[in-house]
Amino acid sequence: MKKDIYERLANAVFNLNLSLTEKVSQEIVNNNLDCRKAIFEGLVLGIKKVSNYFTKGKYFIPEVLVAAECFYKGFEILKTNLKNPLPNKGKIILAVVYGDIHDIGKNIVKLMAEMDGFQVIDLGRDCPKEKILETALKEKPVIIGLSALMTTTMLEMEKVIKLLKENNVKAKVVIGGAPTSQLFAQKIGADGYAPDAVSGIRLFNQLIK
Amino acid sequence: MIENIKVFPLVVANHAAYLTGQKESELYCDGEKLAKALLYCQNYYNYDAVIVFSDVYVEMEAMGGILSFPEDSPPIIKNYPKLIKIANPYTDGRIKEILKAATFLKKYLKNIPIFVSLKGPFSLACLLVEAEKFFIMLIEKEKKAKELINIAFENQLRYLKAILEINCIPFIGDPFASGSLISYNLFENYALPPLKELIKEAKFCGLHICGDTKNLLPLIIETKAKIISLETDIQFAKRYFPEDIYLMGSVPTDLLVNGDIFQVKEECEKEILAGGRNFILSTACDVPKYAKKENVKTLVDVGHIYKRL
Repeated sequence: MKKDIYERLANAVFNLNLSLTEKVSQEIVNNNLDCRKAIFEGLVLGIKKVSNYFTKGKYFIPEVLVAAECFYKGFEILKTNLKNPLPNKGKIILAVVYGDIHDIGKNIVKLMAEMDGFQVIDLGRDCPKEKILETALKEKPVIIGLSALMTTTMLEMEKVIKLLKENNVKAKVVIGGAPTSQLFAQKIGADGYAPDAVSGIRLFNQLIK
Repeated sequence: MIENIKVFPLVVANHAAYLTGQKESELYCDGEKLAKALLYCQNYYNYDAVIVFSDVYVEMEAMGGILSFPEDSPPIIKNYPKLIKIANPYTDGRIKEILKAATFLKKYLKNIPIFVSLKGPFSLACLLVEAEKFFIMLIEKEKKAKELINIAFENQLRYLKAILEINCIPFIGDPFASGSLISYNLFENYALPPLKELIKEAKFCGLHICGDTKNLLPLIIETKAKIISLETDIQFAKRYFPEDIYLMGSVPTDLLVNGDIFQVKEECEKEILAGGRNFILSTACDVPKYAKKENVKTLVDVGHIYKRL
């Protein structure tokens, strides 16, 4: 029954069924089952299947957003009964640079990074470089992820990196977003470029080794 | 006149502001200034057609959205429309400035086609509410999403008629209906039907879809747009295209900023070779604000050499 219920939870997320995700999560809490296991063998497994479909081009942004909604809803219910803390790979700052309000990509990276064990500090969109620096100095993250969707705003990334280097911030900087590229990342002195969320998480893990 | 278009980079307001040394916001808010800057760009680079485009928020603002205009960067959304209304293209927001710019260019560039950019209804619907909310709505609230797209369609139908009235050619941009963002099924269900209707009304128009559109090509061709501009690899796309459609693209915009003239020349030659008959050499998307002038110039020059062959 226990195994079955975690599988049902994973399938609810994978099938983008919000009400079923809520129902099964509540059932797990009500029956006093292992919520940590439910998160990893249910919610995370569901998200991994979604991410796999995303990589294969079977799921796209709307599907990922609905899966994220399912995940957060389930997590909210399960965490009330969580006994052991989740693993922590370190802090990550994520921000959409100043002048840019397109944050879907950043939100997907946030979800996947959290699932992978990183503690995400989300500075949101249209974020001034000074705020990124101030947070980096205070929180000492291992990674700073910058995103931009427009060719005009991606130039802001270079200013952020320059400011971080001037202030000796040690975190690795990864950039992403439609107009960016490996060539651009090298040019502005970023430590890495991620063409999508899945490769972004892979890169985060490589950079913290 | 369309047969004469061989090279048509998508130079729009931001690069025009850079080239003419003006603040972007001046061009976004003043049709005459936008027209003069675009005219300057056409004279400077000598490409074969002009597109009038300022920013993606023109229609959503006219429908009730509130923007702010930083001096030298694109507009920022302050509020999504609280009450969405169908805009009057002659009076509401900045649509009238776009039409003014197009009318001005039509007068001064008599032998060059003037295209006017307008959003596809799917993308406009996405801009009327927050994109994230809209994408979730597509899966969870189909009826509501379709209602929103219908409102966007009605708005764009009026705008399109106003463009046709001044004898310009509509160029529909549907950036959120991108193959990088949505699936074949969502495109077919939501983006394609209103696009087909608009294009039928226009009779002759251009269509630009951003991102990787490989999986959407059969549907994009179904729209019956006469000119189709893509970011997708031209060699791949060409296999799907009937001879009577003008395929347009797709020099990577990043190359215009970070590459040199030799790389641009090589890329253009590759595109031309792949594009074959009825190919229009262009950029994969808008020419970036800070594209190097010599790179854009090279793109146009290579396009014109090919014209003479």
